Amino acid sequence: MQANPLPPLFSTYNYLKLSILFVILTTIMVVSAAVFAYSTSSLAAGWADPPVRLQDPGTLGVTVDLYDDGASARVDVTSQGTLTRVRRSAFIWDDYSDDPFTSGRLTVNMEAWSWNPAGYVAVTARSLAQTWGGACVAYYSTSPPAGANMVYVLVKELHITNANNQYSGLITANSPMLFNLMGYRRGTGSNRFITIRRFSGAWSTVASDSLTLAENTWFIFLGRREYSGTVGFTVYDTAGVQQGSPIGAADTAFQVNLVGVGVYRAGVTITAHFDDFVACADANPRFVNVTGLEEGWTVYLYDGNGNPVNQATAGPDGKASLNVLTRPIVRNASFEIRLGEAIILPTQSFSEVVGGDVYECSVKHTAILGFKNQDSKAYSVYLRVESIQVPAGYSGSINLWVGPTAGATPIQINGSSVIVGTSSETVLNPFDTSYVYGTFPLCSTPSSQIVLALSLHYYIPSSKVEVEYPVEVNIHG
Amino acid sequence: MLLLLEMSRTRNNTRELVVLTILIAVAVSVVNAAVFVYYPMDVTASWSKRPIYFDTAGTNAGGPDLSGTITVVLSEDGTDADITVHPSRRGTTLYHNIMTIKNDDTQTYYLWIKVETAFDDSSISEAYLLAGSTQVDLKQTGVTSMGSLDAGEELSVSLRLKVSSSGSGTDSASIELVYSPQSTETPP
Repeated sequence: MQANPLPPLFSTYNYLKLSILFVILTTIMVVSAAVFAYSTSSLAAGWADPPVRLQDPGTLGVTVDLYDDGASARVDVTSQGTLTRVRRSAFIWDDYSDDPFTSGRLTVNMEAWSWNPAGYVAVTARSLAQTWGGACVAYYSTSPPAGANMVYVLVKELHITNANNQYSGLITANSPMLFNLMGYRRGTGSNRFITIRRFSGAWSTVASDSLTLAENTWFIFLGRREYSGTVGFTVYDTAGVQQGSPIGAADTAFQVNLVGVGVYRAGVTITAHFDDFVACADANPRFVNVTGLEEGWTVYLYDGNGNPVNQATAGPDGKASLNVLTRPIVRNASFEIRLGEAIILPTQSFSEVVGGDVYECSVKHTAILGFKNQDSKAYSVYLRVESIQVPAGYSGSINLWVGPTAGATPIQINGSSVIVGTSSETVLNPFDTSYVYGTFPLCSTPSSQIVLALSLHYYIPSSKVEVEYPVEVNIHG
Repeated sequence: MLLLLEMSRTRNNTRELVVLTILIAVAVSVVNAAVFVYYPMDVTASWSKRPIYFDTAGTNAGGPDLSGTITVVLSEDGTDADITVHPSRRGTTLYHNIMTIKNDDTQTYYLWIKVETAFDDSSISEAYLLAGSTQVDLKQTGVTSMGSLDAGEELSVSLRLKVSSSGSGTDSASIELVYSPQSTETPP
């Protein structure tokens, strides 16, 4: 039997084995060449009390739930909009709930006037006055504001006449020597009129129309005097129904400086009562206007007892005009805005609403969360949006910021888009309290809910040590 | 006859034993005769300035903390760092730029953070070391690559801790900064 010969040293077989060996050796060499250097660090964390705590600001319509020792919060905003009175045109309004004579509000030119605690003023003239062309007047010393071009006077009037050519009504005067008396005139026989007269050293009739107004009955007189000379006068009953036709004419031009009420006695005694006096510059006191509404929203006005005064629905111009002719002065009034049964704006109260007022319905500027610095160091504070959830189709605008109510750059959210995600900063001085503020649009769909995930950050300016608290804001319709 | 047969078998066994003994002796002799060959090799260790080091210049180290100060103690050459912070026991506390890692060499180095001992107190729900775009979880042991640091460059180190505790407390972690001129291997 013949043995197998050995393969030659440089055979293919040996090349293969040598190559594998070379690769292994190379790998070992490379591995052996990997150099690592190590530097050690120790980290120690000793946690301390949070220096800033979140707080409930106690804002009406805002509910705050605090967690983690005031280091996180859930905020529910349920009242989003607000009504703000943007204009009061009335420069005099008086419901005679107290004595206007002893208080000095009303000045008279003869002793014929009295105040009735039932809430009106009365005059019983038994002679002609020595001034004001013989008229017995009570006037306010408050003048219309500078720049006015027109004055409206609204007053409730009741008269008891006893002779021909007796007058009872309202006065728009430049002076006791130049004024209009707009009101009721008892004529001869059964003739009765509404009339506008002017006294300018002598009496003259500017406009007049036949209209019988029952004796001892309340009516509502509305007069208008433009400084250029145009005058107008309209009478309504206490239900607000116009009596006869308005009268008007171009009269002598003069600026109105005084307004009031008065009677002119001719013959025997004339008695008149006056109530709910309102004088407006450049605005009709018949109406209270509310702007900034969506078409179809209805504004309800209630008195202090919760009784409805009037309501009006906004048109395409976003304005609702509430007729307050019969109640031009509403004390402890409240507004509510609804769309159908849905409450858009919960009841909002005002100490008084006066004819001629303008209210603007706008986003609410609300303190939704407080934060108090319990430390002796000052911190810089800002707010950041982490995420938002908004209902489909939502297009409202939300602003959120920290610190002062003016001058801050807010987080801005329009619809489902975050326009500005981080607010400007405010400085929270030692032991001070500041607030997160927001403006929220009125929402016509109460079931919709907007959820904002925010984070409140505060940091030490010199070392940038920064603490972050989570804040969730839920906005309900 | 039987005796002769028995004597013959005994002689044969003796012969085998002798052969076996000789073979063992030869083998032992061969082992004792092992040849040792010596090649000379010189090993020289030449140490120089560390290329990568920690630094606190221009950082917030030493600045006011929520309580006390941000303490960063470095060894003489900046190769070791002891960091002590005082986060809020509620919320998330971020320590911006408390030290830097600097490359003082002329070549690029690759960096890793090796968490040897993680924060393990349950009050700390999140703990991260932030360096560049890298986030190292300090609640987990392990090695995290931090990429490379070119010659002359530096990397800012920040810390983020989320604590939820009704009272005060402490916890600590230890890490190693590992660097190498190569990146094909991860550090052991």
